[in-house]
Amino acid sequence: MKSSLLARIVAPVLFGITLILLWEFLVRYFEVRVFVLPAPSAIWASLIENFPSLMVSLWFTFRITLLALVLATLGGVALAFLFTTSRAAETTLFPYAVVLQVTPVVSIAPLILIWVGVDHVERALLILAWIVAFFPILSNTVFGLKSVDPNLRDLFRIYGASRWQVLLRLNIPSALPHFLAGLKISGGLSLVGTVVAEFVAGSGGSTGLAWRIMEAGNRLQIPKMFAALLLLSVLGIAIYFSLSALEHLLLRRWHVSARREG
Amino acid sequence: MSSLEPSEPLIDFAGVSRRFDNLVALSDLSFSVNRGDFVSLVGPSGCGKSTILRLIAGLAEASAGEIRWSAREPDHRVGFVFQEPTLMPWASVERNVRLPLDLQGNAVGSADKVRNAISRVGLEGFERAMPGELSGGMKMRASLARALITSPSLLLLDEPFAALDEITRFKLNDDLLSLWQNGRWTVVFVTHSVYEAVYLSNRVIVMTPRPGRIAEDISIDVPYPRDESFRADPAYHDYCQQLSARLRDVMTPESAG
Repeated sequence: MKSSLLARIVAPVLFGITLILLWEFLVRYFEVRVFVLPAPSAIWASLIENFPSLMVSLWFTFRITLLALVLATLGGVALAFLFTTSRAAETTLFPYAVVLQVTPVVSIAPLILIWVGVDHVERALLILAWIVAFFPILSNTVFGLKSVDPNLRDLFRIYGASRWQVLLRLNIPSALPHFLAGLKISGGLSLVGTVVAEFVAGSGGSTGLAWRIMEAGNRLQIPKMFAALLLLSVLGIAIYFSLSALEHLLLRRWHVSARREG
Repeated sequence: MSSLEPSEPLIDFAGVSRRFDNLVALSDLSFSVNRGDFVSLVGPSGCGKSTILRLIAGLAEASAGEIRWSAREPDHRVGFVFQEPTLMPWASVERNVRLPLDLQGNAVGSADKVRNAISRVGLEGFERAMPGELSGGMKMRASLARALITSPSLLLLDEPFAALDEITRFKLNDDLLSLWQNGRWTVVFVTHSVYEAVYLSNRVIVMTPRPGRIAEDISIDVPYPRDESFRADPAYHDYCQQLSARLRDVMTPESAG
C-alpha cells in the first residue's frame, strides 16, 4: 500500500514537472510572445510581484466559496430531511429544486445581481454559488436516507425503536456515504458558482480571483492572468482533497468505497 | 426433554389469513407451537413461510384470524435472524450485538450480556471487528448473538444459513442445536431444505404453494442431542424421503388445488 501511495503522488508530480519544463523550453525556443503564452517562469514572477493583491482576491473567493458550501450543506440536508419525512413536501418542492438546478446560473445571475447585488455584491455571489452547489447534496442525501436496509428497519421495529432512534442510529449512518459523495461534488461546484457569479458581476465591488483574471485580461497582463488561474486551480484542488480526506476519515473503517485491499 | 412430553402452546395461530391487495399469501392457517419446540417450516418459494415469521414478530398484521400468545408471555419477546446477516456496517460486532439493549434503553448489566452472547456464538476476539472484515459464517454468528441477547422466548430464523457453504452451514446447524438445548427457548425455523429441517427439528411443517396452507405436520421422533452421526441414521433418511415426496406432491399443480 505504501508503494502504491508513493506512486499515486510521485507519478502525477513528475508528469507535471516534465510538462512545465517542456512548456518553458518551447516558449523560449520559439520565442512565443508573452501576451500569447507566457513562460512558467514569467507566471511565477508575476505571482510573486502581485502576491499581496492576489492573496486578497484568493481570500475573497475562498470565503464566498466556503460560505456557499456551508449554506448548501445546511440547506441541502435540511431539505432532504423534510423530503424524506413528508411526501407532500417532496412532491411539492422537488420540481422547483430541479428547476433551480437545470437553469444555467449565468442566465439568472444578472437578475439576482439587480435584486440583491446593487449594494451587496457578496450576497448575490453567495446566492448564486449556493444555487449551483446545493442540489448534489440534496439529491444524494435524499437517496441516502431512502436507501436504508429494509431488514434493518424491521429489526429496529421489532425492538420498539423510537423515531429518533431510527433517525440517529439508522437513517443518518446509512445516508452518510451518499451525503459525503454529494458534498465532494458540491465543493467543486460552489467554487464554479462563485467564479461564474464573479464574472457576471464584473467590477461592481467583487474583487475575487475571477475579477483579477478579467482585469488582467483586459490589460493584457497575461502572466498575471495565469497566476490568478493557478491560484484558482490550487484552491479547487485543496477543496477537493480536504473533502476527500473528510470522507476517508469518516468511512475508512466500514464503507466499501474507502477500503482498499491490502 | 423429549418431544413427546406434553407441553403448553407458546403461540397459537387460529384461522389466520394474510392478503396483500388481491394476493392471498396465507389462507386459514391454524397450528400452534409448543414451548421448547424446534419447528421448521418447509415449502416452495412464495408459500408464505416468511410471512408467518413476520406475523409472529409483529411486523405484519393478520387480515383475518388471530395469533394468540401464551398468557405467561405478556411481552412477546422474539429474536429475529434474517436471511442476510443484516448487521449495521458502520458498527463493530460488539455494537451490533448490543443494539437491542441500546434500543430498549436497557443498560443494566449490558456489558456482561454482550460478552456472554458473543462468546456463546464463538466470536470472542472479534468484538471490535467491523462486519466488512468478517466471513459470511461469522456475520451470521454475530446476527445470532444479537437475536439471543434479549433472552427471547421465541427465536425466529428466516432461512438464515441458505447463503453459506455446506461445511459452514453444518457447523452452524450444530452450534444452533446446542445453543437451543442449553437455552430451552422455542424456535421457528424457515428453510427450503428438507434435510436441514429434519436434522434440526422435532417437528416439520410442509406448506403448499400460494395460498399457503399446511400440507403436512410431522414429528421427528429422534431424541436430542443429535450430531453428525444422525445424518447416517436410517431414520434420518426415512424422514427426509417422506418429506421430500410430500413436498414434490404439493408442488405439482393437480394436487395443489
